[in-house]
Amino acid sequence: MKPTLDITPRNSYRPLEKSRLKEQSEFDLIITQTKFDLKRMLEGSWAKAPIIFSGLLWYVTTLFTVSRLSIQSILPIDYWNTFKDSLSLFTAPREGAGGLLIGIGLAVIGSGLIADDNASKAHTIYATKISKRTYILSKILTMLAIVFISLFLWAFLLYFIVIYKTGPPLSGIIEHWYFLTNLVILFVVYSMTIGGIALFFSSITDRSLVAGVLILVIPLLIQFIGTLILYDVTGISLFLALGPYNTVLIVWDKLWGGTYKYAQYMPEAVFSMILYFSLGLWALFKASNDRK
Amino acid sequence: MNIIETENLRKEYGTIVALDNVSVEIPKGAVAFLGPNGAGKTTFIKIVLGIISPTSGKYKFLGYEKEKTTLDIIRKQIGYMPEVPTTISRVTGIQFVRHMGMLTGMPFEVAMQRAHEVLDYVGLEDERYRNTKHYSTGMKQRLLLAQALVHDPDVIICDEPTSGLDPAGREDILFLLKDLVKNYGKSLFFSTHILKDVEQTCDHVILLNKGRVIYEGSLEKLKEKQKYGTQVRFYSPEKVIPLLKEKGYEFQFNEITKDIVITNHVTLEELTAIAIKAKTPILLFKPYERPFDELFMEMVSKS
Ligand SMILES: Nc1ncnc2c1ncn2[C@@H]1O[C@H](COP(=O)(O)OP(=O)(O)O)[C@@H](O)[C@H]1O
Ligand SMILES: [Mg+2]
Repeated sequence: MKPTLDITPRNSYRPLEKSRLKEQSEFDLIITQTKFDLKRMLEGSWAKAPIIFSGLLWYVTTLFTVSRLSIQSILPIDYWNTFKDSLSLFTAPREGAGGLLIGIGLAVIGSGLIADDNASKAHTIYATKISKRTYILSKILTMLAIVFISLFLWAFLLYFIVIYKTGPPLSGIIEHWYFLTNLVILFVVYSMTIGGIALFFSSITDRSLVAGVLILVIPLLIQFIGTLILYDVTGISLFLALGPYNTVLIVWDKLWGGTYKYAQYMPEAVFSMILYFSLGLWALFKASNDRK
Repeated sequence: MNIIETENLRKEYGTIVALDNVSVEIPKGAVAFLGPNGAGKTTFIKIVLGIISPTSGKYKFLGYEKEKTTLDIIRKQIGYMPEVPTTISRVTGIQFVRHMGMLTGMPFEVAMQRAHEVLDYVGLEDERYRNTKHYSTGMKQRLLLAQALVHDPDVIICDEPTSGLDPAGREDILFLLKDLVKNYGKSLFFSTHILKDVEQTCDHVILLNKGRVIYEGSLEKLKEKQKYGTQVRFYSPEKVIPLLKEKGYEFQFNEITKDIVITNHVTLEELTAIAIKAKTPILLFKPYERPFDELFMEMVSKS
């Protein structure tokens, strides 16, 4: 009788047609890596609960904004004022929850961006696939994309709920290059300050949850201590500008002439912007050196 | 052409010397890198892959000097399977392997198809859509092998592909590695601290201990070293032992098996003379082959 030992047939190995590989520029690699990380951040199982949570928060604050604005909109509101008010909502937490929400967005989506790689030793895997420079550039690009998503999801919501209701057409915004340029500058400011902070905390730990909490709490702490204690006591404007949300507010005031007249602190704001971004880059560079 | 050649490769971590002037040649085929934990295997692999730089010394990978093209060469020709638990977080098996494919130059569809092929090959058919976080060590090892194979490299470098596995899991991985070498002409260089792995897969061995190469050559020759003296058994060994001592033989007596292993040269005639003198018959006389582990331990302790 034949032996009945059941050996599962294995799938045989298939060589790859090398013609199916194509040369890839560094730019291609950066884009590939960025897309991968973004997808990973947005659909990773860890991120789901907090994303739903922050989505809810978003919804609630938007409702709050609408109710507030609808009182104002009893008066005739002209084109610019609408934008000033609604957009300034996301410049500072004390003005509106917008700034905070962008912080939450970054903390939730971006916290694992580098912390995950630190935890899973992914640096070693990447080391044989992409250069350190490609890695760093892709992480920066991903962080920019996350800021973009956080910022414009918010702006988009505002448009449909607030601005759309009060009148100015979308085409009107696009025609105004001045306005768009300012929006881009605002995006850069957000990316450098809050994005820089997120890069920093995600790089220095290998636990994304810790990174997420730090991204949210530390800027608020700096903001609080800087503004309410150090600035009030010493009167040194740098302390004010160091609060990450204040940094954004100062630039906002400079661009659109906001209510707080912080525009005069622009040099300090630029300093704090560069400071946070450099800290983020430094930490990211350090983490990427962990290729061992 | 050799896969890797090194010349006085040295790596220091502060006061720790992880690699102590290692000069080796790693030929094509299946080569094992054997050494206990902390021997410097991972350090060596990472240096030749250009992941970390040596304190001093030179190396050549596939004949190229280390230069700016290293990453290009590695991306095209080498599949690297790092130590567990290295992975990428928050992805499924298929996403992980596909991404590695894309980083080596495959368009999305090609990478997708290829990822399925290699995951089939390593036997992760059913787990590919699960988050890699929930993989067992065996599954992680397979996944790491799959990503190393995704671009069909000529050379596969594995860092402890069998660590953390039970015997069945080890057999599986070794089977795959052997298959790749025998049937698909791949060159394999893999580190391990398990001797059995080497016997099953390799014809060339490099033994490393405390950052030093203590053996480099064929497995055959290493097995020669296993031959060690003569194993004899007497009916009453206690009568023979004093005589052996008297004649100046060096030997070890095993209390349990009652066997004597004589390490100096000895002929059957000489032993017969002793046996006659002691009035006890010889039951066994044969060249002694030490267990591989014993040889290994001795080579390690001597180095
Ligand atoms: N990053 C590091 N910093 C300090 N010491 C290290 C580092 N990496 C490895 N070592 C030391 O170098 C030696 C060799 O380590 P390793 O190459 O990992 O050995 P193996 O892979 O053979 O187990 C060990 O003594 C280890 O402690
Ligand atoms: Mg090791």
